[in-house]
Amino acid sequence: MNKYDAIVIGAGHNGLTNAAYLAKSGLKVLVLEKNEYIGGAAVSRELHDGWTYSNCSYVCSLLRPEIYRDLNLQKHGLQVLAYGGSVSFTKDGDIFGAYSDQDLFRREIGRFSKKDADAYVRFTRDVSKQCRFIKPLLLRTPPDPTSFRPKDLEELLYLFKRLYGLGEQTMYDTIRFYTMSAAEYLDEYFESDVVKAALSGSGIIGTALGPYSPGTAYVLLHHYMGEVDGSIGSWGFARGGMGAVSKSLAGALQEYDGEILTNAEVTQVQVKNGKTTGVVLANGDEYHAKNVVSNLDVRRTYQDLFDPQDLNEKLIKQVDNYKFNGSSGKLNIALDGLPEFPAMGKNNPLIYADMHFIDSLERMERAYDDWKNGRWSQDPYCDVLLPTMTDPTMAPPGKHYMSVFVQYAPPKLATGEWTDEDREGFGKTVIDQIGEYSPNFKDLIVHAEIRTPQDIEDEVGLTEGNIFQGELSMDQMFFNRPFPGYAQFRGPVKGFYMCGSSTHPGGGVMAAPGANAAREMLFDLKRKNIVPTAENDD
Amino acid sequence: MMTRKNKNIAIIGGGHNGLICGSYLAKAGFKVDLYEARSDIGGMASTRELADGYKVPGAAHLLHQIDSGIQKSLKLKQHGLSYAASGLKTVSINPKGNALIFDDDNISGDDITLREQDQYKEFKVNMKGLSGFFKKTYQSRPPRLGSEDRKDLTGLMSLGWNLRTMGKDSMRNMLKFIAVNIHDVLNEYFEHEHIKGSIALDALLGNRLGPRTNNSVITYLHQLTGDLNGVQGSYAIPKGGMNSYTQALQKAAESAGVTVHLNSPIKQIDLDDENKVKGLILENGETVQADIVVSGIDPRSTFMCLVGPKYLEPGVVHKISNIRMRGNTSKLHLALSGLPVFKGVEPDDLGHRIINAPTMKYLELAHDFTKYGQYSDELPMEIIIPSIHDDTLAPKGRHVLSAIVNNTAYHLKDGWDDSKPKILENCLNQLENMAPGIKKLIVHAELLSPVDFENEYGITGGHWHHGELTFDQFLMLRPISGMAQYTSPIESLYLCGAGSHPGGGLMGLAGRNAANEIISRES
Repeated sequence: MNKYDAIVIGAGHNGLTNAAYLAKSGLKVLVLEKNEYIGGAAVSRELHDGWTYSNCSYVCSLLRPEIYRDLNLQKHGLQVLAYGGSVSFTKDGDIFGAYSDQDLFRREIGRFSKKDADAYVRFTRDVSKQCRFIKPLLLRTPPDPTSFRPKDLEELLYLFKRLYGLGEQTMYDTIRFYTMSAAEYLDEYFESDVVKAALSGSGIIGTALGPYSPGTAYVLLHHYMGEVDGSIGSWGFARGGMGAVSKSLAGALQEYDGEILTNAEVTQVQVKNGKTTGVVLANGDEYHAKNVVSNLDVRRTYQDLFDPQDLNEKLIKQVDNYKFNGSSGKLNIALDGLPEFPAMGKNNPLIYADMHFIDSLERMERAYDDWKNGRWSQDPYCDVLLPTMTDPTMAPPGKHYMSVFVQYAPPKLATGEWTDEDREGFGKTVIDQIGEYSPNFKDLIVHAEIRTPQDIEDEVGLTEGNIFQGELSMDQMFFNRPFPGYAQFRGPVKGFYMCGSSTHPGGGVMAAPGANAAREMLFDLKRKNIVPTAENDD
Repeated sequence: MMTRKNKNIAIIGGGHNGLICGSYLAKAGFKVDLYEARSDIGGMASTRELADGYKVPGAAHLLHQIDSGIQKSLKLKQHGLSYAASGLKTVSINPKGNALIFDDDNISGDDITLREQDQYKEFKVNMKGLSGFFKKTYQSRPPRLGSEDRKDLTGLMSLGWNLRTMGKDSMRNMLKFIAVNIHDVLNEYFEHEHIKGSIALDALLGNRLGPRTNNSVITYLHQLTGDLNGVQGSYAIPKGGMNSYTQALQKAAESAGVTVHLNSPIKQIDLDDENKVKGLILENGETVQADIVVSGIDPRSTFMCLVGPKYLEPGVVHKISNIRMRGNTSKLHLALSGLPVFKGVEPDDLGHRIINAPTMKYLELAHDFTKYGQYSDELPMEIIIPSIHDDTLAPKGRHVLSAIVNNTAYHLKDGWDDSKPKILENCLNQLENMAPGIKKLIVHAELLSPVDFENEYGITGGHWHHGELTFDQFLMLRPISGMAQYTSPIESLYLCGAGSHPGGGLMGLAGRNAANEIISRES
């Protein structure tokens, strides 16, 4: 029987979430995955004997707690181990520790600037306000601001009410927050360069913008939302690697009798008389369903799976113009023991935290300049973690796994496509930077997987290796994501939907786009909505 | 009862906005005195004696954003404003000597195809549509958010209405493009690098942005709101030098009853015990009584220097000190013994607006230097030779060249004293490449840096617009939130300069909108 109520293309975490909700509502659902394993970019892979890598995404930062609870992910084996804080190593041999203990952290800031320690209190208060404003929007469908339909008008009114509820001054701050650069925003609070650099890191992760670029202030939110959120399951390591997230979602899906087929690459979405009828696989197999959902990014979806004749000209152009701007690389390193960081001293709890080796905004911005000029950053911004400190199951006893997220690496180099030599060079740049701060690091390396944006695209399917399935800039956010007119998860063909990070609210292992798409589908199918909305906490 | 007639208004600064504001206030019946620190009127729109017999525009060198309503209602034509040239084309040169010519909505040159001509037309139509929205919002004061006041609510509703009535496609374009950068927008329309570079320059001139910097769409649409002689984005050179524009404004102001005091720098805005405006104290110690003070100078100088932080709440001081006003623009002035020949530029086109912006990458690189307080050897420029159109500017047969040089940061790591000769040398070498032989024609050359503008015209940071035009300093956030209605926390102190909505560009709307606000509040 190849007939289903809904087919989901791609078993990434959003595809699985979407499918789980459709199945929970009683629909017959099939998820098709091209790889032999599920999870997309939320995977745990044993690429070196005895070591498990979270080889793409590496922390749960924004996984919606509503979904975690609603789909019983804990029961299906997902355990999120909280960790917190970060540490920046400075050129002159000092460290700046962003402790998760707020008192400790303020004292640490005071070591660099007394004024900044005071400013930090104001800063957290102001940023938290913005977080509280945006959080409920993650699990809502953006309104079409040009539409006059009651549903859209209602949602617009809801937004206005919330915005107005903030009060005059906060409203102004909101506008500024969304349009300023991380550097400018931080400049208004802080004077110490190290403090600013440490706080702005999350403003550039996954984004092809430097900290001086307007539009980076709000990317900071992604970091803070996780912390402010603080709910169980939303922030930390997934025990056993990020694959545990996908596995638990698959468990939920199967509990509701949903099916998953791996090694099943979809090559075409079938359309008849303007309606979706099913999909065709690479091996020629056909599966039929009136509803088809794509977890792939917009470029993969519309350029690879559709006959252009089934699409309108405007949409084809919008797909062409959609910005990916892949900007990140990754190193996964198996270590024979714990690397020493002399600047940190022994037994410093910061060894559990994110480590960064950049101590000024200018160095971060220069790292971005390299990206613009078609080079990987010569002095990159690396987000380094030792997940095995928190979750020892990922490596043999006494050994460690290091995850290194690297900003910036362009999808294509000025010299052309990435070559093996380039990949080696890229890896060396990163390893050398870490080696500068850890004398025994290089000797401990047992195996290193180096992933360029090109590698991420080839393996996971993310165009240009963009971890968010498309740049998170204002022209591709909220009612503009992925395109104006298509922000409500519906495609240009009846029965076709999008549920990946290309849709609202975008990337990160949040599971929100998948759930949002399910809500809209259930609405169209005139079924009861079972997708949770955000809990109100204000 | 107090009537307008016996309320005294003192205006600080004789730039175009101060003059315009004064004119409208005087016309409404107030008694207006205007105080200008320099010995001539006009501020950034003035004329400068470069060398004996050679006159150049001091700062701004083209007119293109003057509001047509103001021009009409102040009868600037009758007061002597005329153009030596108008409807100027833009000639974009590149190192290969392939000039690209922009004439209103048409482009030609540099192997332009028919398709690219159509793309350009489509682009212009769309962008003019978007800037039309700006134009409307520029005509009145920005509403306050969260206010219950009827005027604010109507203002907000009319913003929404203007957006809604743009049409679905334009509205979507607006919401999509408004907060991003010109680089991404141009990439959606064009492949031709030279076209993209040339258009991008319009977004960047006078600002501290690269093509990839978000906010550069706002600046592009902002400059497109000008509709000189009814043509959007058209350029003109006033006859008799740049100051003939401000002289016409002065005549208009005086005929409306404004008294202009030159050489009258202000030391302090005088406040009474209740922090209400009492008058002005001049540098020479003289005091002037005034019921209302209107400042045409930049907001930071106004509040930090003339009022003083101790009379303001800490929150306001914090916001004012955070206004970004990092000048990035210099002026290059040359006295020439003859006409230069630019590579690829027809002799007939020499009198037009010549720009040097071959690619977006070129502009981005120049910006990258700026970010770190450095400068590139290759600087984007906008060049005009006004003496071609106006023989009063140079001795017979001789010429003056005026160029806006972008990407010269106010804060240079090496300081301006050391850097200036090098930057001037770089500029001249660049010009020599564009126009071989020009160096031999140079009788006199000077470079005015943002620091020079700060010293000469008193603008903090030497920023021409009295504050960068970015989203977070735009509309109800200009110059800072809570002061966007031309008012201030000091009773009876108002703002009318380019630091207020809608910003600079010689359009004069800040001055007129401020006058309207004062008239409605003080009558």
